[in-house]
Amino acid sequence: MQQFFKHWMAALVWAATMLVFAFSMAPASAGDNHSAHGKALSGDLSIMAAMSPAPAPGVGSVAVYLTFSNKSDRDVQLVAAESPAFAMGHMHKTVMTDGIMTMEPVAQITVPVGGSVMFEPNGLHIMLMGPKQSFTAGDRFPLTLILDTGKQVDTHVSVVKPGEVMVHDHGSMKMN
Amino acid sequence: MKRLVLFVALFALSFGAKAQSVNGVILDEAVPVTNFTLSAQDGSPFTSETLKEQWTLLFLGFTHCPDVCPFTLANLEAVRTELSQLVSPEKLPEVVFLAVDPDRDTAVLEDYVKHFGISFTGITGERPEIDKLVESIDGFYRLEKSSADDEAYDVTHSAAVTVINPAGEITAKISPPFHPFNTANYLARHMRGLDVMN
Repeated sequence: MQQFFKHWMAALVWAATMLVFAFSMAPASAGDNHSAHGKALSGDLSIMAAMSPAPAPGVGSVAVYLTFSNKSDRDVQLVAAESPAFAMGHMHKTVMTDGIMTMEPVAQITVPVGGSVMFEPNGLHIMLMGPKQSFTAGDRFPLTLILDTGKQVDTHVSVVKPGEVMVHDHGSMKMN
Repeated sequence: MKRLVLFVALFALSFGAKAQSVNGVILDEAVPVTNFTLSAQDGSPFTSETLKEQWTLLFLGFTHCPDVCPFTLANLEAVRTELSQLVSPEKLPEVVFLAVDPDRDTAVLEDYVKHFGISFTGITGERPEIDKLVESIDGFYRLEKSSADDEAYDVTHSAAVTVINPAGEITAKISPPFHPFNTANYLARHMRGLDVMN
């Protein structure tokens, strides 16, 4: 029982931390205005809690996890991801079939009106390759997601320690 | 008040159910790991004999894996931290990362494994020796090279962690997600020889 409370408290503390973290990240607003970061939210498309586990030294690819929300009045299609800090960016999905993990490129992701898409470990992720500098936990780098219309949504990615990215539980913890 | 009690009860139930959700398979009979000769990240030999005397969690992957391998290795370190409160130090399993892409893995293996856990061991070596161990743990991998000079290739690989006992025998397999607290509890019971509930 003591273990139960300990872990329950740990979960609460984690949830609170993530909330504070999420609110402390200025949501990037969509639009052609590239200096949108930090400005008042135009209310349409936003990226929350973009983070990337610090890569081991000598490793040339990283994954970025984030939540993309669409509060505009139409469905949007994400078609590309890029960062000036890396040579290349792709949207990928990890697929497990019969215990075998495969990475598949994803050409387009539809985010419906009022919906959001989560990029998280062992699922959708943005893979960036060819870093132009080394990164350690605490660093930040810019990231842009591109829609099929050419519209761009900017954010900053926080580099975190390995193990600081959690998978959201889609299981029995949900009470609604 | 009734509703509150019901809510709390449901919540406790759902938590209880979750606490046991580990995708594990315990083998009916332990299977010895076949003989193989690989090298640890410091160049020292690592063989089937090295697996003996302690419990081992063996994970197969490659260092340029951006998503699954870092997430699994970070989780295995968290599992060890949780386990350290449940079992005596000599029962704490060693984490061994079998790197199946030696062309890219060998040079960075030491930094790679220490990045995730200071006590972790990374092993790799000649292809036939890697394949012996992969076959022995019923694992799988395939280098997805599009051409001979493709250097950004992916490696398709099995996701399970193999549990090896101090006699060097495979006793269980655990598949993702490796929730640290749940996996630690599962392993603690398994290592004590108790039934585990999936």
